[in-house]
Amino acid sequence: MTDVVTSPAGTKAAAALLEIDHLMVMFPVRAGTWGAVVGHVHAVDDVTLTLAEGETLGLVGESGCGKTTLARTLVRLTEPTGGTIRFRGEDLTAKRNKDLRSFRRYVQMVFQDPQASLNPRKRISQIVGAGIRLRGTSKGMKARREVEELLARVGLDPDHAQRYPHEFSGGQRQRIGIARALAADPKLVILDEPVSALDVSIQAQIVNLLDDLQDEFGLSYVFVAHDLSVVRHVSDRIAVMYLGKIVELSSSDELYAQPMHPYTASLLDAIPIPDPDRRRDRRRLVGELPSATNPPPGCRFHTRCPWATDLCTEVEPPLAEFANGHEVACHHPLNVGRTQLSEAIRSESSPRSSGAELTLSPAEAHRVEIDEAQGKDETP
Amino acid sequence: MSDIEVFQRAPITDEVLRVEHLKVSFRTERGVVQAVDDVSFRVGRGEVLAIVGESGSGKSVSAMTLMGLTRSPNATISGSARLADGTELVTASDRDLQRVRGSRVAMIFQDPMSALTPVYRVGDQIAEQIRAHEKVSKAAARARAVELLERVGIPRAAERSRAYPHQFSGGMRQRVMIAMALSCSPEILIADEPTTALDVTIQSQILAEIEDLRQETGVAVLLITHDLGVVAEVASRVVVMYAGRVVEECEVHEIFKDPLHPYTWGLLGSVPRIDKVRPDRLPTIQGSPPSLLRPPSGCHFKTRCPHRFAECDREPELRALEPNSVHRDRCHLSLQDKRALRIVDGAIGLPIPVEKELS
Ligand SMILES: Nc1ncnc2c1ncn2[C@@H]1O[C@H](COP(=O)(O)OP(=O)(O)OP(=O)(O)O)[C@@H](O)[C@H]1O
Ligand SMILES: Nc1ncnc2c1ncn2[C@@H]1O[C@H](COP(=O)(O)OP(=O)(O)OP(=O)(O)O)[C@@H](O)[C@H]1O
Ligand code: SF4
Ligand code: SF4
Ligand SMILES: [Mg+2]
Ligand SMILES: [Mg+2]
Repeated sequence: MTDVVTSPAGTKAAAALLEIDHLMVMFPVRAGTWGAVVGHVHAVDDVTLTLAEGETLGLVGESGCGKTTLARTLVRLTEPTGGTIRFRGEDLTAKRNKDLRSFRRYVQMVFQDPQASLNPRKRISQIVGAGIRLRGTSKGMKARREVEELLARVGLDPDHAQRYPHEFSGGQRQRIGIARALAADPKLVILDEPVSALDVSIQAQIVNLLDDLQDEFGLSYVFVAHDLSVVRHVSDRIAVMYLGKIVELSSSDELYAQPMHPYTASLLDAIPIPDPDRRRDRRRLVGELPSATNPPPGCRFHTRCPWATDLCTEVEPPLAEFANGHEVACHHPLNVGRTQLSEAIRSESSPRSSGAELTLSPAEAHRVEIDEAQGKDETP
Repeated sequence: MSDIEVFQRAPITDEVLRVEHLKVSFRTERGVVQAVDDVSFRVGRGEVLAIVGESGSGKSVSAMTLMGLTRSPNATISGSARLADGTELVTASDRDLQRVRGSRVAMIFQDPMSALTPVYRVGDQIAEQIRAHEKVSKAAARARAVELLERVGIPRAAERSRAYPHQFSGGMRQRVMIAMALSCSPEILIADEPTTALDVTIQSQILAEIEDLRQETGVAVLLITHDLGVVAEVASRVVVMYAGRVVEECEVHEIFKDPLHPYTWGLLGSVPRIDKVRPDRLPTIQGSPPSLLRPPSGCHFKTRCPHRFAECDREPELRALEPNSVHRDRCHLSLQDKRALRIVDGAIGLPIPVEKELS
């Protein structure tokens, strides 16, 4: 933390590239012939996050919990309903479309489905060239040379510039998507499930490529994925989402070694291990998936949490911050001792609707269960 | 060839499907794409056969061909795919195939939304499916639909059966697909990447449901996936495909403990492991998959294989290297060489080539 600077906004230090503050995205739900609004989907519900220069933030969570919506909002493909997004201290949410042009160059997105996100009628040279034009400089021969250099950089044959997207395999199309994003010379790249549809060897190539590009261009990434092994590999920190909220945030290694939120624990538990000797009896999450239009009161996970108490059904847990910046939104976190619990503080990132004070206590009931299952010593 | 044939016929108890020398090609403006190039495999009753392999290696095309879904004017299909009673799927008339589809062979797709009709209630869609193959009353079919939804773990099934697909989450829709697929107690369930778009907790539920049904009904499952963790957890046997061909076929244990084809080594070496220390870089297989318009002569993996030698210009056969073994692979290396070459830094993988990785 030597290069602490004061951002123009004058608040947070440590060279934050991106500051997401109490961000909300709600979608109206319509019904009937006249399309009357009968409710709202709380896709992103009061999310606060920061991203440092050069950092990779992993974003994981249940299908439908709002990851794509959050990602799209960061590049302003979706309009936020509330809250702010600051990029290098500048409030983007206050900007009109016209003023966003210069910003678009700095924040680029790579989409989950390269097939759907590349215009089938455009040649690769046009697709990648569009990114270069965002910078507004190169034209003609110079632009063409730049396209070719970019294609080579992402491991494609520059001769392919004149081909159309359907002439490429899934892995190659994903490289085209990355080349298009890089063409604008961005600072931040939002990657929404960039490798989910690819086989593991191509997945590994793309992950390594992203790694190299990050070092070379000093990029920051927000990396959305279902595959927790891939997320662990690429991320410095990981945010876990459940039903529109951040429920846990921690350094990548610690999240896997010491998951504190019961939902995170069940996610990790469900990862299939590529070793037939370790076939496990999967512990399944039971209970019903709550509705995103009418989320449960209190902790949103309580309908499925094995350790829920009465408190959980009444008070939304604020984010508790532990010594090393590990944050968890749970009244009864796992894998922490009483001392740690007593030293935790309420994080400033906590949603506004959450409890004003921390009410942490170990869930005695579950502790017994875990200790028996794992044969561990009781934590003091 | 005939002495090899002997080893291949090691027992699979109660065979329900035998695919032999299946070839599928498509005419395109750039030339003929040989998507499936001589694929053979067998599926036994109640087993889960996993098909893994390179993106674009012909896994989906193989599966869809069994269902008659690749038939089109620009497609050429040859070879054979026979059910236990001798029904030939490759040459069956569209009408006969229609009867087989859904009742004896059912398929679930990666994207369940595309296979459901948005304007019909979920329960009605399942009931329709039942009535297409069985003479039962509407009411009886509806009741069966609710039962099926219950069986695949949809809570409050009676009520939910009246909902529309868009009111279900991705995981629930996939369960509806499974319910639909099982509505006529098929002998074979083809699942093409059924959990790729779902998170791991839902994936684990879906896999557990498929597993329960397999045990209860003895349905054979053909599971296409690129997740080797999923393979380790649910498969009984594995087929590995590369550029239109089967390059290895074996028991699930062998694919992890005694893999014989270099492509398989590369695949295993590329998997990021949650249960291991994270490496700086993920090992990969150099280069990109060959064009199916002009695949390399001889071994299809030759252009990327660090172990290639003169012999590899000749096409290797899919064969067992040990007598009486059901473990077959398609590579010229000797068994001894394979077992020595596949270990890289103490684990299975391919050596990192000297040339630049991306070329
Ligand atoms: N345009 C929209 N209109 C209405 N609801 C929407 C819209 N887009 C998304 N939603 C809803 O918002 C919620 C969050 O969706 P989102 O796509 O962000 O989830 P996700 O976390 O990316 O899920 P997945 O892992 O399945 O991709 C879901 O309940 C979804 O149905
Ligand atoms: N109708 C078609 N016309 C031309 N080529 C086709 C057609 N359908 C499939 N192909 C090609 O056949 C090859 C095999 O495709 P297939 O979908 O079977 O791959 P896959 O193994 O399922 O890959 P993935 O893991 O990416 O799903 C691909 O190169 C594909 O582009
Ligand atoms: S707050 Fe309660 S219900 Fe929510 S995750 Fe923690 S223990 Fe479970
Ligand atoms: S046949 Fe040759 S090129 Fe093909 S996998 Fe074996 S060693 Fe490699
Ligand atoms: Mg998404
Ligand atoms: Mg496929």
